[in-house]
Amino acid sequence: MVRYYLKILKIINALIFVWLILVFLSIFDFNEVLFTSDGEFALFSFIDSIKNIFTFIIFAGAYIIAIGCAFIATTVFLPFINRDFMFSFIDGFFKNFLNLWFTFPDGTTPDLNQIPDLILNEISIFFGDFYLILFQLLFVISIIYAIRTFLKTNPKHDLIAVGALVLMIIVPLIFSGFNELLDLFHVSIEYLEDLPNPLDPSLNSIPIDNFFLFLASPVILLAIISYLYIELAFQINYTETVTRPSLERSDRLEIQLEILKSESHYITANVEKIKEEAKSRMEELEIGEKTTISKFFAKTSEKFSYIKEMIEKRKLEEEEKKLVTAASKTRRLGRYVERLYREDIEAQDTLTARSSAPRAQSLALSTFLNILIRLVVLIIISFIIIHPKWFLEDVFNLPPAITESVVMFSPEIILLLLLPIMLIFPIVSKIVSFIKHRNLIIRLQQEGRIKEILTSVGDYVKKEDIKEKEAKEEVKAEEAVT
Amino acid sequence: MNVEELRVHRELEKEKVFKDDFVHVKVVVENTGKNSFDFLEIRDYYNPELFRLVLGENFISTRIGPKGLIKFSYVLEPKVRGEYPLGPLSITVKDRLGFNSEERIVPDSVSDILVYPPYEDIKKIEILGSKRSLQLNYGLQRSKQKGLGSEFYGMRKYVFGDQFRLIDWKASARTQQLIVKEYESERDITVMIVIDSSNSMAGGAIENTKFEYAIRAGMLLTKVALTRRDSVGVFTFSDKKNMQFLKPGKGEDHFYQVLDFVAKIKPEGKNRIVEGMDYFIRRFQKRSLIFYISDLESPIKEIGQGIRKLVPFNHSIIIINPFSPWFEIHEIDLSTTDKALAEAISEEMMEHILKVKQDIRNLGINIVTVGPDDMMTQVLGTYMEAKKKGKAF
Repeated sequence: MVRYYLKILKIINALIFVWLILVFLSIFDFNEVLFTSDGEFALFSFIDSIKNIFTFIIFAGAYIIAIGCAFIATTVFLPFINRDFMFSFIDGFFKNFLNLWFTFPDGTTPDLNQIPDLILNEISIFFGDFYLILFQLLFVISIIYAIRTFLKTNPKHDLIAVGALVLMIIVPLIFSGFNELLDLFHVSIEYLEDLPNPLDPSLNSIPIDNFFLFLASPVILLAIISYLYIELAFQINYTETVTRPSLERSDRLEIQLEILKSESHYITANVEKIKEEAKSRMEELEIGEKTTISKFFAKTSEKFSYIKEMIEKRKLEEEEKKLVTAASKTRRLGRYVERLYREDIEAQDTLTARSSAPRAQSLALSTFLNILIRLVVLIIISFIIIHPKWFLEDVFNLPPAITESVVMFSPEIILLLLLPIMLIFPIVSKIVSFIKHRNLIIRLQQEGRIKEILTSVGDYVKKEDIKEKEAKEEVKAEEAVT
Repeated sequence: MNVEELRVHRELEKEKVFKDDFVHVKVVVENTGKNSFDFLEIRDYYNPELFRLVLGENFISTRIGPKGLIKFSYVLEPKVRGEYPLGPLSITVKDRLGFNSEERIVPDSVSDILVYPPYEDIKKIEILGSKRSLQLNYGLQRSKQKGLGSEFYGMRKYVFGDQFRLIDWKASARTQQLIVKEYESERDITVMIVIDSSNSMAGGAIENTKFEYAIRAGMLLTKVALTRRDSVGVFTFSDKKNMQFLKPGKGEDHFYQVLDFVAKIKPEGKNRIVEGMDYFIRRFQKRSLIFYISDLESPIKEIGQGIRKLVPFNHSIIIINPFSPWFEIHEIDLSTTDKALAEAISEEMMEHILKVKQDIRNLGINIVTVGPDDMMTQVLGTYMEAKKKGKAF
């Protein structure tokens, strides 16, 4: 039942992701990033710009090397070679012959002095295209990680899937914000201003006066769906974490018990067979009689290497012992489990921990309630933060001089509520953690014996800690003596 | 998350267990509060050097609803004889997203388990005893000299080979099958098992030390002697701090007393045989058949002195000597040097034992040197022979 519940949750989450993509595409014009301003496919333009940059670099490099060589040669052999002739020869060679090996963007071979500008131009095209391709890449990453998380639960993948989409919104906003900042100083960078903005203009106007319009606005809807998706991803992860060990344990133990049941019935014959085989091998090797204490003590008729005999015997015994021990243990365990089931009717359930696996109904109810409560709280808090006027007027009772001031319409006013609300969770968490830690220490001091017991168990307390403690105590004792 | 609302305890199927047996450990978790715990991890600690987990798992990760109850269990196999703690129980509670967690050790969640020596040897003897009618009897049943004794012991079904004069015709007529009477002619004796519990006896692989073999042999001897209605007492000693005495007793209950007694003993301290025997004769003087199980690794003079202290009490003394090198070689892949060294040590040990024998030969005490393979049979054989010869009557 729990397995079905988990699958249903995953399907719901996949549907939420589809909804998220649809809402995202309603505010993000994908055509803007798919094609360049020339109408060329951004990816092809990007590859072209790389190709052109390398073409210019290689061509210019070869040209400079040839000129350099010509210069050295004419300097060394000045009486024999005419320098001007050499330079015009190289120029002619590069422009008429070597240029056939290169494909230049506009089809004409540039002069050497034109190449730096052309490279810079191509680099600017490269970055422009890269900016567009970045969105395409982020979109592909988002889809891939959404598929991955559907196949194998991992909230990190969900975060990447949503994070990539969010980044697609944030990146244009950053550039647009930066441009606006530069405008304040009357500075403008043409390149930045030419960058396409794929975001819908409605993004800038969030209806904050009406709660329902606020909810229906695409940006808020996108934020809510993103949250819902992440929340559900964590719920799926939780459900899997909490149910998987029980389910796996149950499956594993049931298989083990089944094998034990079947094996333990006919293993007796195997044990006898192994023993017989080992006995006959011992007889073949004439081991056993020799290795008696009396023989060793007598040391009469024949001298024998006692250790050699012992080891030979042990080797045989070791093999036999392993098989016999395993077989006899299986048999004993099988009988024990049979008896246990007869005497303790709930033993099978407790061994497989079948009864301890969480129930699907309770999980579903708690998941639904958890999501609902958090979602409602999140929406209310978001509304308050984005729309602080009502809060400042009705909760803090601030005078109209403040609430009606121009400052209220500035983004900075949001920080006034955002910061306290943001900080309230970590602070409360720290306080709770501190109180619990203090209580725990007091309790552990009261239960001083616990540490000793843990030490004796040896599995819980680090041995190094104990050694250190013992060493300190020894030092103290020595100091006390001296 | 209030961990205090969780009640966790362990239920042990049994607190005393034989080494080759299993113990079912059940952990019960109850949420007494009104809130659920979204993520709960319970772990029951055990020492893997002392116990082997053979079935189930000693931990669980789950969630528990309000007023919920969870049970899980696992099966442990004790590896080593002794008294050992099991636990403690630890609870880890986390929130759904795993941001906050709290771990607690459940107070008073350590249980002691007493592990008896393995029952395997006794079982073998019992099986042989049950095949008595097939003339495979070996010691466990009282070896009565039928017809010679006068003390009525009991009745049983006739088996082929029984003397006709032993048939109880009245009982046979009543039950419609042949029934024979059994008589016993033996006299009960007191058997004292004296075990050297010094640290030299702990040599070898942890599960198969000389001391473990000595305990097994002692247990087997106890079982057989008690079945033959002899009284059995146990004395273990090393130095002054480590002397334990269990006075002789009879019956099935006494067997379990012996088990409890030997299960708790650990080999520690140096062998002080003179002090040990002084203590022994202060506690016990009655003439008895004494089995002294020791590796005899003390100085020859001390061994002689110690043994001589018992002589005035007219005990019949048998020394069972586990031959150290034979018990301590548990590695198979020995280098040539190691082999040569082992040969030399065993030669030296042999010389030592021969000297001990020489030292106490005029006391009429038999030293039976045994290896791990023949220890049990030698001990039983020696006991049977002593009984046949009427020693310590």
